[in-house]
Amino acid sequence: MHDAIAETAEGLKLPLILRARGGLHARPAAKLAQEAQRFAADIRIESENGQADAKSMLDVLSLALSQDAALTLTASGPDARAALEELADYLDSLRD
Amino acid sequence: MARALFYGTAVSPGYAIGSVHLLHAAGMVEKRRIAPRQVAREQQRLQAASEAVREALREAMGKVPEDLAEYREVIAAQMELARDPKLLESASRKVESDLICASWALDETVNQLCALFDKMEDPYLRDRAQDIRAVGLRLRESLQGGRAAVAPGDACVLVAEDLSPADVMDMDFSGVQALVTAQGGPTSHTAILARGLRIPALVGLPDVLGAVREGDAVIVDGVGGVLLAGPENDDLSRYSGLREEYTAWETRVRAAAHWPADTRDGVRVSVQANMERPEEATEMRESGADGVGLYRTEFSFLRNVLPGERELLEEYGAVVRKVAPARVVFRTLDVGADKMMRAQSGVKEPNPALGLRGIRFCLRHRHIFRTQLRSLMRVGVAGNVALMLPMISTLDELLTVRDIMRDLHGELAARRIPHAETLPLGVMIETPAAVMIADALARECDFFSIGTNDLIHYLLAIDRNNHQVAYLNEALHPAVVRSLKRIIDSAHREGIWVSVCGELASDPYGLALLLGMGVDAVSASPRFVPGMKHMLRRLDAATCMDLAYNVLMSADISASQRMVRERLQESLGSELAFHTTSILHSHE
Repeated sequence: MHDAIAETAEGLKLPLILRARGGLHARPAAKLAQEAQRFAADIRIESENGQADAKSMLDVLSLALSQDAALTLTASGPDARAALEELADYLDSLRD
Repeated sequence: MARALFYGTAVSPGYAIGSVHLLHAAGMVEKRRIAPRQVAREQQRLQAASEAVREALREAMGKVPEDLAEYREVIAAQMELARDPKLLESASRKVESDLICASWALDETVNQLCALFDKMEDPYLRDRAQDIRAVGLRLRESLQGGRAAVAPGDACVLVAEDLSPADVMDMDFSGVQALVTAQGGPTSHTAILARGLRIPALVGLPDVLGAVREGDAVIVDGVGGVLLAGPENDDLSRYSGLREEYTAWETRVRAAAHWPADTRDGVRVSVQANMERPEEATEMRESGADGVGLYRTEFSFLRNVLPGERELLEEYGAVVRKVAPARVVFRTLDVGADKMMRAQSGVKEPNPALGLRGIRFCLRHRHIFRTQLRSLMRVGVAGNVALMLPMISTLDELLTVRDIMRDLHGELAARRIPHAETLPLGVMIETPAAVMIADALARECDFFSIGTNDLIHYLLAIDRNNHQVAYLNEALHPAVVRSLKRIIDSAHREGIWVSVCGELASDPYGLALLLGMGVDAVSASPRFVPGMKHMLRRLDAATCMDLAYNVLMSADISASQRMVRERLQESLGSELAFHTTSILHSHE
């Protein structure tokens, strides 16, 4: 799935579909922010509801991501690729 | 201050006299302008506060008992919030751009974020504003030099916006005489904590924070649901008398809580507890309840994620094991399309009380209902389980559920999953239609449970959200009294038992009337159980039967009220005042 990472002017981009049952609620949003903070790269999540800083649980929550929402993760910085792979794996682990 | 009364919801009974201690110094944000050279220092203070709050939350987390997974979840989210870049960076930027101190910048940021979340359509996300506020208050306190600790032995009344799980874990409540919160309801953390500590608590007093100050003398009436600020000498002497009598009465009542409730003439009524979360089981057992007469199953469905079978099994299994060998009566999912989680993308109904709710919703959304029934049947082998169906209005609904359960039995048996093939199946009598066909329903089910709150609304055609018609809510209305009698008689004619799980069961006047009509079991919030048992022991079933007869014959509500009041005063004397009543409005 990480083959889908594309290089663009704004950084690396990875489109994906959120499979978490019932959408992204507080606990996974907190965990996602925690994971994201381990990277130096600037990481953003984009959905049709807007875009958010992946390191901010509040920002991520305010996107009100529902199940099957289409997202794009964007990262720029030294460890951008590792960050995208890690976060995509985490989001993928939320399906059951 | 001048004498003033604040009305709220009493969620833990008792009386307290003490001085106000504000948990959070709300409304006292430090608002200081700063010079450009102070910017860096204020930003550092913000960072330090974030770290201190995270440390305090981590410590609180360590104190959460094993079975309170929900608390851990809330605290973990708050720890993440306490270092959230959106929160901290916005505040930090504000310090620099507006040249204001850290507290002020933080307060503005928190308010903006809360306003954002308050406006959200999803109720789950809207509730996150509470977490942001709780963390915001902690950060502010840390910036202002930390939280004032409650000195044990202080006769204080703790007043707060709300109590969050972290507050509950990291505070010493030994000197606290009562809890009062602006927010919250009967199932809030405040309520559960207060009942555990056996101190009175009031919730839902939005104006109280603006009105009282640290150290003000107040009286908390946890029976009548009133906070009295600025008491006069008369108030103080009256309430210290009441407090003394109440404490003596409560000690007697508690001491006998685990004994059966037999009336003076030897009629035994089973007194059970209503519950909605597994962690209430300890309180339930301590109350002396003879089982759980109503377990509400909505709680796990009202989040934005539908619970899976494994999650339900875990919840129901925990309850059943903790209550065993006594019985747990589970009420199947009782939600309307209006309240249902966003996973179901709720339909807007103009009149949800008459809409697709209770059993109607479950039979329409079979996959949800089947998951719940399957979980209950599987838990049936772990303890003493019964289930009951809400909002029944036709016989067909009951028969359809029996069909589904037969089908699930086949499915589970084929997969060799241990389960109870059948479970005692009851019907909740809440609609006028169910009252009229009670005889037919009684032939097809194992017990009745009367949900008096909804029954009264539907019988008298009143919208519970419309205050204009609230005056009609009259439990002693002949239509209500006659219906109760009809339901109980129909059940007994078919040899099935009847339980009452609405507010009427814990009301002293309602309880006497129900006893007189021959009800077999009553179920109420655990906090009322010892008092109800004590009262039943002081009553006489034959006298109550006579009372019920007279009330049934009466077409005049105020005459009925007079009759029950006089009869109860004769039997109970001054103790009557210690029971909370909602059906007699004018008791002098």
